[in-house]
Amino acid sequence: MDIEHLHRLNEGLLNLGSYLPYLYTVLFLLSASISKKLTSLSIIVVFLALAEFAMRPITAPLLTYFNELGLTYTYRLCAWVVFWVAIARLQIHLLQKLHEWLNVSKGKALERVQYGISGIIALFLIDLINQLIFKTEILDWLYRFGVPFINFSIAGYLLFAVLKHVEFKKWKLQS
Amino acid sequence: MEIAILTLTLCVVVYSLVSAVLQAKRPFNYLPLGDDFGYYEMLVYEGILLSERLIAAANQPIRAAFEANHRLNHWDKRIQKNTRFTLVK
Repeated sequence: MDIEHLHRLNEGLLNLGSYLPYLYTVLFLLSASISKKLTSLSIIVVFLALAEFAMRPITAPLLTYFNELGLTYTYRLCAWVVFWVAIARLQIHLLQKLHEWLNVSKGKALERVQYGISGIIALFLIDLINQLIFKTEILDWLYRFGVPFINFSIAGYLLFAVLKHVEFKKWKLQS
Repeated sequence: MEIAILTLTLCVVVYSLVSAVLQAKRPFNYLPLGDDFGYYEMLVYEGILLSERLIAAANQPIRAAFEANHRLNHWDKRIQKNTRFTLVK
């Protein structure tokens, strides 16, 4: 596959990722209508929708800001990685804290979502080490495609977890 | 300078990764304390919990028993403060 195609595919995936808050909003409405109360799934879904919604517009301005600072590449890379790792860590912490504040049991769904976000932190670590020491193409592509892949798999898992609770009533012949 | 910042960054990233995984493993279960019970009901359940902890401290080092006893004494003070007026009637 050509490198241009890969770049275009990556951009397309990132664009597609910007529509995830809409999916999360629909999932929140679905889970609320199914369970009729605040559940662990609805908390996760609302929080992730807000987080995605807040993170998307600051990405490009932040990149231009770091580029305009006049720092060397290493410092810019460190600032970029530390910023996004801090955001991901904050997400994990707030998801846990929200369950404690609202007194809702933590299920397997939250654990998996937290592992997924930890995976994003691990990808940032891999990218940092790759850019500083190895400088290989494969690890770079792993980072570029890994982050959207983890986001989409979290969204897919939540979709599956919410739809699992949907119950269809059997149609009965009325006498 | 550059090496110091790089080391700091690596430390921050590794620390946040490890603490994230540890936090993901930490369970949280629904606590049946709060709006579901009235205040006195909650106090009674708390007393039962504390006395069970004191009994369970028999197999533990003496320090645990002291702490459990201390907590139970505090609970007893709260009970006395709350029931002071109800006993007079």
